[in-house]
Amino acid sequence: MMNTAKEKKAPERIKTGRSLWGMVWFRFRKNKLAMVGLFMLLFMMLAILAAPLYVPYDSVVKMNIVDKFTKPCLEYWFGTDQFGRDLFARVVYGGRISLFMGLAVVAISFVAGCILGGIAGYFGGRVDNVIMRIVDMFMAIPAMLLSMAVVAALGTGVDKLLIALSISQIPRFTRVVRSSIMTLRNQEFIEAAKCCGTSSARIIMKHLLPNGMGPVIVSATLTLGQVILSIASLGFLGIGVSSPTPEWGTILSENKAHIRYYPYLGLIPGICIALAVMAVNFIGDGLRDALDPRTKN
Amino acid sequence: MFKYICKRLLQLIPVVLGITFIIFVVLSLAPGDPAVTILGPDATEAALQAKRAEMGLDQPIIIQYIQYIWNVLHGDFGTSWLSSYEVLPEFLHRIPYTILLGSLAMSIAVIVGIPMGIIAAIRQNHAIDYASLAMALILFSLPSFWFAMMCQILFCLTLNWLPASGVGSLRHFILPAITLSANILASQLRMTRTSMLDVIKQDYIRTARAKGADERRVVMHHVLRNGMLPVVTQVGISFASCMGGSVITEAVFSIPGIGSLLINAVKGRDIPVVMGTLIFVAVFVGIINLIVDIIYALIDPRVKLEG
Amino acid sequence: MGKELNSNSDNKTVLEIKDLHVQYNTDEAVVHALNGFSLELKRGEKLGLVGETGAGKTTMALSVLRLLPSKVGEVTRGSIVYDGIDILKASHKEMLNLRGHRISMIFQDPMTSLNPVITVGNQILEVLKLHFPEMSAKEMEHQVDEIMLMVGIPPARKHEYPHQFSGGMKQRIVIAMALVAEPELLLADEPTTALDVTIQAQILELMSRLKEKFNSAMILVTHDLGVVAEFCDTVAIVYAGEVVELGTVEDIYARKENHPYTTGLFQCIPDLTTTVDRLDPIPGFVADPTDLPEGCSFAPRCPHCTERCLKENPEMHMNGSHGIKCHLFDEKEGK
Repeated sequence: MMNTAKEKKAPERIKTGRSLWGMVWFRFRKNKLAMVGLFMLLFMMLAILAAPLYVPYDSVVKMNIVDKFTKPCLEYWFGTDQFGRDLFARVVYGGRISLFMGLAVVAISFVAGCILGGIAGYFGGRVDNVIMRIVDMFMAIPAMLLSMAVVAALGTGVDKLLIALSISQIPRFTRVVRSSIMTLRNQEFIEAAKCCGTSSARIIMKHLLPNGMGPVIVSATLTLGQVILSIASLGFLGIGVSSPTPEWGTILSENKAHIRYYPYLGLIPGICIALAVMAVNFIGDGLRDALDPRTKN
Repeated sequence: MFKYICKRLLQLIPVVLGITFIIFVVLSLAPGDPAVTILGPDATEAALQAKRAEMGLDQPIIIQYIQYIWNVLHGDFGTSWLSSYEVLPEFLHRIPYTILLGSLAMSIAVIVGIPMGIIAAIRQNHAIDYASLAMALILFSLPSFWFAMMCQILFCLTLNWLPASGVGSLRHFILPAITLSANILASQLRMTRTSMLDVIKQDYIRTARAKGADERRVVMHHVLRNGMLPVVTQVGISFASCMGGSVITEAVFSIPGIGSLLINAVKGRDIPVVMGTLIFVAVFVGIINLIVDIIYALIDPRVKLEG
Repeated sequence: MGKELNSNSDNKTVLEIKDLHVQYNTDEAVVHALNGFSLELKRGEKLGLVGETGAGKTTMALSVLRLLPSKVGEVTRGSIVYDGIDILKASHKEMLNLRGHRISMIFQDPMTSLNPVITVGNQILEVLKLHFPEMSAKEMEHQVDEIMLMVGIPPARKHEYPHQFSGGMKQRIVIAMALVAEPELLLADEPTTALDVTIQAQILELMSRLKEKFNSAMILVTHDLGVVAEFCDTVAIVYAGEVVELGTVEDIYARKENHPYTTGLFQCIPDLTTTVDRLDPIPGFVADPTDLPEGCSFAPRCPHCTERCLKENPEMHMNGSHGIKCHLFDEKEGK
């Protein structure tokens, strides 16, 4: 009888144990703000991706001078601008650049940062020194100004902006990945893997990166918010994506002169940017709390 | 200490040289002929040739760079390609505006953000904590150019409370400084709060309570000094983002600082101006980082500045 | 015997914990840390509190100072009375006066228990400043020097910061901090666990000298039965937030009658006098404090477990100074 009591206890404990990422998701799900952010972002991405289904691309550039400065109504949900172009269509299609270019920049810098930071952190010594000195050089200039300098060299356009923004984010990612790897490098399970004769590439890919990913993913999410803001800012300054490709910052820049009298021209695109960034930040905060429960409460 | 400062300043040199070299090369490889930029599309080929020779553009790039740095060391930052002003005097003329704007914004962020973060942490999960957090979340997510523009429209154009643009008086800087500080204030607040909450959970805070220290003493004596350590670092980092942000603010409020100079230079690929700005910014950020490290060492006895 | 106790004021009960229930409300679960914890401590008594990690020993010590983590830790039932003061109902001011002055605590990990940005001298001095505001600055400095000498640290080092000291030295400073106000009750929460064995011996030696000097009552929280035998007058064995056996050191170490858990603990100690091939660990895991078994919490691991044990929580059976909380002793008491 006492045996049954013992056996009953054991399997239950195994069942309650979750994997690391299972635990993270479990805690993330409990964070209301983070879930709101996730749904907001998913909704925005879906609305933007599905845009051709409900707004023809034509409306983005089609000018209806007769309808200019129409306030938001049933026909023009967000109203029209000084050329009578449908603001809703412009915002929805503009989101493609703002959101997806933001994602692309983060993805590129994430991968590049993981490779550079992984190498620097794992091998240390001279390799680390060289990589980090170069990173230091890039970090000497604020991200915004660095992107501007690259734009000055390459010119404007989607592809060039992508490069400019990625270059200014890669150093940051490299640092985060490196410090994350450095703290893991000397831990025993890495020693154990080395003792088993595992190759360096495999140790980096299978052991170091998955275990050190937490802070990097959090930083990637929060960076996404900053990159969306940078894209809009550069667009607003006229050195980002050039019109007629609409982009939230560019839309605001074009409407600038009329916002005083037609506030919706400024409010709607601005709020779109703010909501997107906020959603991303909520997710980032939620992830951070979920990954490191000690930071909460 | 003096030795440490000298060492750090010396270390700054390769960093500045490195980044300027990279950017110099990238800028030079960019398509477009600077001689055409300067003389205009109607210039004769002979005139263009002469201009290129004068500017040293026919030399290898490394020679051009060395020549440029040599000139910079002698106080000659070159001449703008677009409007043929000398870069250095123009800089010296504009820097005060940028520094005034930046320091006002940083002061607002520090004076408002840090105390609010402290209060939010002490009153964790009270209304005031939620209110400051909500404010920080919103300010942190606002595009600063949009926030600046909307404030400008509301307070300057519609309500006529403040001048909308220019630099005539200190009043001109109120709104630019506030809007520039918004983002920084938000990150300062969040950082302070997180850091304070982190310290409150430490064992040594429990020790202080076990000694019989009341809440006020625990916060003022034990939490604050430890909690401020990461905040000092954050303030240093904020200086850099403040430099980046001021470009946008200067554009919105037509402030003739370094930022608005840079925007035009970037648009016109005015390389001497871009290079000059970056050198200035890199040195400035480097010195700020040095100051931050010194302050950090002063409040954290575990950090020793070794020369 | 009872009369003798009352007549002798030195043997008065100073601390009485009755049926204390404490739980931690975390996001994931409710952790029942203490479940009917009861204890009495007489003036000058050295009590050893023994149990496995997670048995609730630290929670007990923190409850006495009312220092449970706010919002998370919650006392759901029971009482703690210290020298006539009801700790759970005492005013904030009364608590501030008790902490560090009349009751002080030595924490488990000296590495994290000291404030890294304040000199060790000032950290010791703070206790005096808080509780003896009338004392002159010179006198305070003198007291600090004296206690530092006592714990074996040159007073000249009081201007140094914690990171400049080794682990053992830090623990000495923590002890100095706890003793500088000459408290009536000292709660030592595993004061040597984080230290090397050689340093452990030094610290214990130091503490036993100091307890002689100040004659304060002490609760020594530990999981080391050897330390208790050497150091304490009385012992309480804790399992899953309850005292399952208590008595004098002689009562427990005579090993005539023991709670099955205590027996298990003794079997975990390697005995050098006899030859055994293997140690005899207690089977199973420590009771899961988020999901405590019905009945006796030790039942699932107990070799003498009966049907009744699984359903009914046993009472504490006292036999003189020796108490055992187990159904095995029901009949014996009845006889």
